[in-house]
Parts: sequence; structure tokens; C-alpha cells
Amino acid sequence: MKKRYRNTAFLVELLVNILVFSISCAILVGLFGKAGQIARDTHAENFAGAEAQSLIEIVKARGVQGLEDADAQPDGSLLFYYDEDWQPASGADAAYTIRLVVRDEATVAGVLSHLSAVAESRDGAEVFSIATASYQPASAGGDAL
Amino acid sequence: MNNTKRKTRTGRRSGVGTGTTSLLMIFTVLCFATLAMLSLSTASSSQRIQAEGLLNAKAVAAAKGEAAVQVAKLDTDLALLQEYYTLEYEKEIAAVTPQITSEGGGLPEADVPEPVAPDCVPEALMDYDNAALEAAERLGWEVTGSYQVALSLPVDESTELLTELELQGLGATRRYEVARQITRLVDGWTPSEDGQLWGGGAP
Repeated sequence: MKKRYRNTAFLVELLVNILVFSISCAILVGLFGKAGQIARDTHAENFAGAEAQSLIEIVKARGVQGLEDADAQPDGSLLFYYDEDWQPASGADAAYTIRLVVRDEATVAGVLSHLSAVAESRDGAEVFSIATASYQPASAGGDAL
Repeated sequence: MNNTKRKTRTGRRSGVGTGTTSLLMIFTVLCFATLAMLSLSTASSSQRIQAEGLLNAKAVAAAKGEAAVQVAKLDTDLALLQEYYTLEYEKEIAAVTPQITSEGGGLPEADVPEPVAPDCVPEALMDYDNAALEAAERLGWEVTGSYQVALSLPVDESTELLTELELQGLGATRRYEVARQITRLVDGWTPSEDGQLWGGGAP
């Protein structure tokens, strides 16, 4: 009688433990998943920032002609496509895009360029954006800035 | 009798009694929970630091853009001034040249490349320099040297972007040169007491 009681108690304890363990694991797997998602977002923001700044610096140094693999859009902007690992990709396989807008404004003494780059994920969510300007004086002006 | 004792000891040594599985389960869950919390806090910290860095990069880029706009405005003024004072300079040359040619023993005008009498020529040059510095001050630049102007633009609460230009004279081939462009801590800024030890970072 006593042995049967012990076996039953052990089984009940085991079942309760399995239940608690399952619930805890479900919660913890959720936390692991959240941590993984944050890490992926951080990785995407990091690469988006680096790529956007890199594109802007290329335009500042060499002009729009210095950009390769740019997809010119009807509105004058340039689109760049990237895959999940932020490697250049074709439009169909792109997980991320960077839209670069260059607006030149002629002044008396040179050209003032307004530059902006916006990185977006496939679902249209903005990952990173940056805006700046550069000034290219005429030949007898001074240093470009 | 001996067999009965041995069985009892073996049963106790197996350790799978009431409560043991609970202790094992609690230990395992605590290990997993610690790992999960560590993973989450590491990812969150990394994201926060990353976001701060990107925010700073955006602020520096915006300040550099504003500096470029201000330089464009100043260069426009300098170009217009240069145009005006070059005409003045040429008028002065035209007025002085006959005097020099007559004093120089009747040299033909074509042989006088530029007037050399210091008391006659520099008027337009000096006027141009003064006008250029005044134009810079009018646009918000601070005159820091005889031909040097500086502009400080805020990046964030602790950092500012300093742009320094060296203005060139009327006869120079260029109107200005960028002496330097740097980010620096705002004068008098000290770290807050909430543990932040950096001041924004340089581009």
C-alpha cells in the first residue's frame, strides 16, 4: 500500500515537473527568439548605416558617376539592392534597398548637392536614414566640402 | 537479511525519489533562464550602443551638410566681391600704369606686367580682404585670424563641428581653403554622473 502511494506521488510529481518545465521552456524559447530578433535588427541597422554612409561618401568624392550597379528610378533617385547578408543583389532577390537622392543646386560660385539615403527592408519598414550636403566650388573656388 | 539491506541501499542510491526530479527541473530551468536573460541583455545592450553610434553619425552628417551650405553661401559672397574688386583693381592699375611707365624711363605699357609701387596698388586688395571678412561675419562666421574664419555647429549636447577656412587674397588662384573640419567637445562640457563617459565620438 505504501509502495503504491510512493509510486503514485512520484508519477504526479513527474507530470507536474514536465508541465512546469514545458511552460518554462516555452517562455524561455520566446526570450531566445526575441534576443535573436534584436540581434538581427541590430545587424541590419549596422550594415544599413555603413552602406548608406559609404554611398554618400562615394557621391561626395566622385559624383553620381562613381556609383556602380545603381538602378535609376523615374523620379531621379537611385536604388541599390541587398540580400539578407547585405551583399549586392538583384531587385527580385532583395531583402533590403537603399534609395539615394541627389539634388544639385547651382550657385553663383559652384554646385551645392543635397544628399539623402534611406534604407528600407522588404516590407517597407525604414531601417536607417541619413541626410547631408556637399559643396563643389567652381574651378577657381576652393576646396570641396 | 543481508539481501534486504542491499536492496534498500540500492534503492536509495538511485536518487530518483520524490523531490529529486523537482530539484533537477528547477536547476535546469534556472540555467536556461540565466542563459536567456544573458542573451537578451547582450542583444539589447548591443542594439542600444549601435543606435547611439548611428544617431551620432546622422547628427555629424547633418552638421557637415549645414557647414557645406554655409560655405556655399560664403563662397557666393566671395565670388561676387572678387568680381567687384577685380574691376576696382584693374581701374587702379589703369590709373597707375602711365605714372609707372613715365617714372620707369618710358617703358611701353605692354612691358609692365603688374604695378609694383606698393603705395598705389594694395588699396583694392585690402578693401577686398576687409569686405571678405565682413561678409563672413555677416553670415555667422567668427574671425579667428587675419585671414581665418571659423564656424561652430552643434552636433549634439556634448559635441560640435568646427569648420575653419583660410580666406585667400584677391590675386590668389582660389577664394578659400579648408584649414580643418573636426568634431570637438563643447567648451565646458563634462560627463554626466549617470555613467556615460564618452562625448559622442568623432566621425
